Amino acid sequence: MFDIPKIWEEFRESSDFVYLRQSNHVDHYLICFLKSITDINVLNEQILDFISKNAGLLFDELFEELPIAEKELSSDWDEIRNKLLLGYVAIQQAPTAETILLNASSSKGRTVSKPEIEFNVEGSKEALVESLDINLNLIRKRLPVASLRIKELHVGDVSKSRVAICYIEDITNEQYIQTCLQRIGDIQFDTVTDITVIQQIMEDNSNSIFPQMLGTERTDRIVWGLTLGQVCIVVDGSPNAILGPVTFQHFFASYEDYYLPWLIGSIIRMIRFTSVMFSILASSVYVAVLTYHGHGISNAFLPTIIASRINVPFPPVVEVLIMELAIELLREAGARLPSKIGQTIGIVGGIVLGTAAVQASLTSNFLLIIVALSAMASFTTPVFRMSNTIRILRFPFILFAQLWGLLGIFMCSIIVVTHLLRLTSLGMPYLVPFYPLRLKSLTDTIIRPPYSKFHQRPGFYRTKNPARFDKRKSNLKNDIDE
Amino acid sequence: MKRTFCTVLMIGLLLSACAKQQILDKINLFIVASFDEISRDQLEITLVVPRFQAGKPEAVSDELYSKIGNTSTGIRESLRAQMDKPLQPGKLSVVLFGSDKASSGIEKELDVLLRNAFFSRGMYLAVVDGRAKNVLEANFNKKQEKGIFLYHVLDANTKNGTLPSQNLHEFEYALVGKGLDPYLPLIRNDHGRVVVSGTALFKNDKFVATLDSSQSRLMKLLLENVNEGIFEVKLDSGAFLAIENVGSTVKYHMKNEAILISLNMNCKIREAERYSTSDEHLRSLKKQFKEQLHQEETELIKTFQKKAIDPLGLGDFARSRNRHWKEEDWMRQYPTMKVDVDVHVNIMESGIKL
Repeated sequence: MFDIPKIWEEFRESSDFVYLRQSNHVDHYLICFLKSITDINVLNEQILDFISKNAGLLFDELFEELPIAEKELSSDWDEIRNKLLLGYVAIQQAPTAETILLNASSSKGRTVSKPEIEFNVEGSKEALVESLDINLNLIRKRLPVASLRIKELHVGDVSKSRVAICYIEDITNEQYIQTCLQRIGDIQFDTVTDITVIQQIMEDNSNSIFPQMLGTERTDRIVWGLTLGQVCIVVDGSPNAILGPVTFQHFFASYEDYYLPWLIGSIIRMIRFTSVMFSILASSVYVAVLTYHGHGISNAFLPTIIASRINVPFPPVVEVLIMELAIELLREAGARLPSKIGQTIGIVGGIVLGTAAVQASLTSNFLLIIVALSAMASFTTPVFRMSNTIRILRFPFILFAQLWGLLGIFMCSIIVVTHLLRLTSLGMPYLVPFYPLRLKSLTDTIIRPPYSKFHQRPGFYRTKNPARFDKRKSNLKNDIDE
Repeated sequence: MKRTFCTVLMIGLLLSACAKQQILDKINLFIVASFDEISRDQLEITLVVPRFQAGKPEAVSDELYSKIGNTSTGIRESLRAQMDKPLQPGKLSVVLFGSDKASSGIEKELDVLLRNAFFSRGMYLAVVDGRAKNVLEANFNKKQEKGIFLYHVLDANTKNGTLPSQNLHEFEYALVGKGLDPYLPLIRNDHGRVVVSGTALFKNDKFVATLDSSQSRLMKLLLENVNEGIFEVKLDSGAFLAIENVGSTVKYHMKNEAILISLNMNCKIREAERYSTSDEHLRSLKKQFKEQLHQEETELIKTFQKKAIDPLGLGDFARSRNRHWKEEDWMRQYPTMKVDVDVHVNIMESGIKL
């Protein structure tokens, strides 16, 4: 018999490394694997069983006859080591230099479950999970076309995360695919634990508070994006995928809009746009009006506002900052706690603190309503990263309102809009189709048009094939006799 | 990049000291102010400063501040000495002039209002029959702040009532514009109540004549398209009928040197006690109403001509039709000019009772 080869030395330090000598009276084999990621059942019932029943086989014959789908014969030590780390079983026979590698990896993880962040009432209840294979399976199941390409890369020197880039070959613009491939290939970061890491690194402007890739956990949204000409990036270990290139208005479109009748969907989408504007501007307008433009309040409002504020000792800006901070605290506390305690926090914070603050004259009723409404309005943003952006964006507006009143709010808006104009997503302007104006692509922006109007893919994606279906045949509801 | 950022930040922080903060509850607002004449070059200004109570928007009390002086800005400065918070004039919505002040001219006070961008052009001006301070001293409303109440009274009476519309902007237009004269609502204190009693007519900036409320209503008919107002018709039999105006249109025409005003009115009968509203009767009623209206309007215009004031803006209208129009010529011929009123009345319905 032979000793354990030196090549295994580095694994022997780990307690989940198993090396066993297996013999069937004729041949002697050395079998190595990491038991933490190897399926013991496969090993016992298929590999060991087969070896013990088939004595006298040559090593090559054993390789050919082993009933395992993924197997390799290799003598390259680096490859052997990497495969072992992925859950392969290595079989060696003393005299030969070659090693048989058999895939017996077991993956433990969640099963497909309901979307929790992008929850919806209508439509499918299927969300991505942490396993890349399951995710790719979910995507490919919905797109049974040969032109759906999945390119797999490995990112991170330590984590070696599998990153899959999906696109439809005959739709998506080559430039976006190449940009994605190159940027992901260039990533210099050792551990990629989630898609958001990749998103932050590969975005056009990593210092912007605006997301330039759309994170989603909904498979239907991914498929919709792919068929329009977007690229989808999925990472092993993350239950989210990112879609790109995206434009600003995508972040305010809930996928459920497409499942509701178009009129209802459009109205809800418009409400969402208004609520976002309200959420950003409400408290800063309060500061500006109460600090500088009191004479702009109508006579009907005047007694209400003054009576609710007259005993508050702070200037409006301090009052607003206290309240906004309180809301942010509630939000953070609620997010960090288990959901059952989170409810209690909501009650304690919202009701008890709110009323107590008003009674103690720390804030006015009027502001309490504004702050609560604007917090609620900011929750309507369907994409989590964008709702965080809007949450943060309020503060510079409040600051500018305090400095220069309404003029300051306009100045801050100009700064924000200028920033948005300079942003790009994978090289595509962020504010397209509003600026640069693309009239034909305006259809699916503020309103969600009926499906018969979707006969063209948005022009700003520069797809290889802009036509989705024949416009003339859309919406034909002929009588069955015709 | 960093340098630009720092520069912008510095400019921002330095400039922010220039903006003057006026926190709403840390200033004294006033919604109504009044001007009274004390002597030839002294006037009295009264401000009503509302006092709000925390948590009770309905419980507003008023404090009157009054001071005599030479210029309104000077008086405002000396009023400040009595106050606990700085005075902010931006909320002023109603300005009352005592009749003495109005008679001797209000141009100087208007100048203050028009010059400062803080003052709203939509504010209401009114002339008080007697001293304006007396109206403000009266305890005419317990529920609302006095200024807000007065604003609502004037607003309701111009939007849905008898008064022809006139705010600061329109007053200024009529004052400065050629070929028309301004007018203002006239209010008085009637046993502790504020009553809108008619219209005060101005010649330039001086108050010269009054119209009662029924005349004001007739004047409003000639000034703008109206869709409300009750007219009482006296029949030959001595009975009175109430007719409601549902919509009237007015149009001016220029024919040779004469002006023709055509007035079209759709109306409904609202009250006709013991009067048959059969078709035949209606026809005679229509004729009578038309004649009455025609006579009243003609008389009204005659009064204007006699006093050589032109609140209807006939000169302004003539100017728009004649490029060689001259104010002096116009004023010379205006008192004797031929102005016809052509009235059409259409009684649309007489109610559901026969």
